[in-house]
Amino acid sequence: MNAPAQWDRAVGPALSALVALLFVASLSVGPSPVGIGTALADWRGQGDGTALVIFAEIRLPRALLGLLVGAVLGLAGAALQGLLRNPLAEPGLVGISPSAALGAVVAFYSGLSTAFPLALPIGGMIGAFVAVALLYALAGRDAGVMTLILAGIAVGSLAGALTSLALSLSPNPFALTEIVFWMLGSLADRSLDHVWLAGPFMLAGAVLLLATGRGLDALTLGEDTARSLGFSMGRLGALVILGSALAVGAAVAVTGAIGFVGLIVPHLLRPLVGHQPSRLLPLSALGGAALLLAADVAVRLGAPGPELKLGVVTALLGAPFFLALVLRTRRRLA
Amino acid sequence: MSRLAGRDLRVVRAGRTILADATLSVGPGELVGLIGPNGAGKTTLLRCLAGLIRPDGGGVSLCGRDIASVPRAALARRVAYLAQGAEVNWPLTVDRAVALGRLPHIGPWQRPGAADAAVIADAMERCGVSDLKERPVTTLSGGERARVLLARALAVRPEVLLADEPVAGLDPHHQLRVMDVLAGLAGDGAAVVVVLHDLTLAARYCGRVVLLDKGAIVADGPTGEALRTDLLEAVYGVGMVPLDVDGTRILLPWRHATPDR
Repeated sequence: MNAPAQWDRAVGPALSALVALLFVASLSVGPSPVGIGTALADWRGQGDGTALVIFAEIRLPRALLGLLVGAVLGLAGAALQGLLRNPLAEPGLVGISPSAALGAVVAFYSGLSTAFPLALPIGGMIGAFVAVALLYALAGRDAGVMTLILAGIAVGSLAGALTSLALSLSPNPFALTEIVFWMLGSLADRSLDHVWLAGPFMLAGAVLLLATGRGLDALTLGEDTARSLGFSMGRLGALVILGSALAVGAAVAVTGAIGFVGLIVPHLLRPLVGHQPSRLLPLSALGGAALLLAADVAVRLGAPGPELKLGVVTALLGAPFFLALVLRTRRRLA
Repeated sequence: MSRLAGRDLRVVRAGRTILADATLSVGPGELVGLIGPNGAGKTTLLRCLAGLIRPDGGGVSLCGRDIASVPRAALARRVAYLAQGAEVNWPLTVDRAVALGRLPHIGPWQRPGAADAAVIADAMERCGVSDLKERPVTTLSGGERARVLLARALAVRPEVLLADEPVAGLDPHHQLRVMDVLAGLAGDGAAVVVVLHDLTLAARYCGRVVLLDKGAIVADGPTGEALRTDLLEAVYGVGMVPLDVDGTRILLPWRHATPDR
């Protein structure tokens, strides 16, 4: 059901405030008792400098990545759902996330990532772009939605199979463990280099995705009506797919596979904006950032010992949610 | 002077000829009924006229200009297309669904203004859906939904409206309401082409009827002349009973045609 109209305008500011709050929380939480205050004191030259180092090299990249990765995952989910007109769509569904993961695994596996740390995110983005190229080769430029989904499933399955092949052929148990842990998805132990490398791609992708709002609104009434309203379906599809590949490819390459954010966030926010795709896009970015920052703070606040992987947490929350969503959709159609 | 004209339109798909050199034009103030059996090519012809598919032969012109050379956005402001099947994918409220008709008139980063709101309100009023404006479209009955989507097309304020079976599946009351709106639009000077299966509605509302059979136009003229008993019996394979109602000759499909067809 639709929420009252006055909520509509309140959602944006409320979510922005929540994201700001969680960003500060993410900067403040960690195993060492370093607060923003001590870090600032260090920065002014009044401390021994350790607080600033922890802050700039551990906390800040983690918070920035949480913000950016969460935002693009939420945004890409909302845009893909708008394009495919299906609330169950997700960057993973059209094969982008698995292919990005494959690209990163290849970088690991070949040993490139030990010689040259940035090979990992670059591998991820190459994977995402290969997925998009394959998707276009399979589905064509003016393909229907069903073709796109099926092509996406095919590309995703192929990427998954090749990842498994790489893992099962791995001669080095240490590398294997490293790959498996990386694939679980986490924001921990990333540096500002990762932010600088992936950030521009995520931002460029986000801009492309945000430009699709009006076209996605028109698409609510079907492809023919959208075209008769002046929107090119080929261009709209290209914007969504390319934007998702840039944004999600870069995100997955840096953080590993963090699933379900693109599924949960748009679904929860959609009724608050009257189900209008164009309004959902910016809010899903905010919601995704809030969810990922919150989950990442939560894993750090958890029990002592090895920290839970973020991707595990989102999957544990997201998979039952997905199942409930499928059941509800099924009941409505029955 | 015709406003929208398709000339020698030919569409071939997978070796099958769907449209065979169909020529059809519509002028301002005209309400043209496009009729024909299932699979005759009515939707394909309408989609060609709307610029949604490029014909394999022939062309479509809008006020004398080839629509292939008209930018898509400019075309969208002038020609509205009401698709068959009343597809609505998200439970948008009625006023927001109707507002989608303003998209061609609003720049990508521009917000709809007071003038747009007035056009939207007027379109809802004409179609009798103003009282429903807060309701999600997906909760409406078939008749209400069809009128909402018609209001969406009116919100474009088009010079040409191409409506594909807008009365399919509606009860008689809603059929008449939709046809009244289309007639009103033509009365205001728009060129309207409407695909119909109901010969009675065609006779009652349309000044001109175009009969399509196997991709070819077999009759095009004033309703009284085009709706000929022998022609319709041959095309539909159904025996027609002529009736006179309020001075209008209507043809009622009554029985299967003679077995020799």
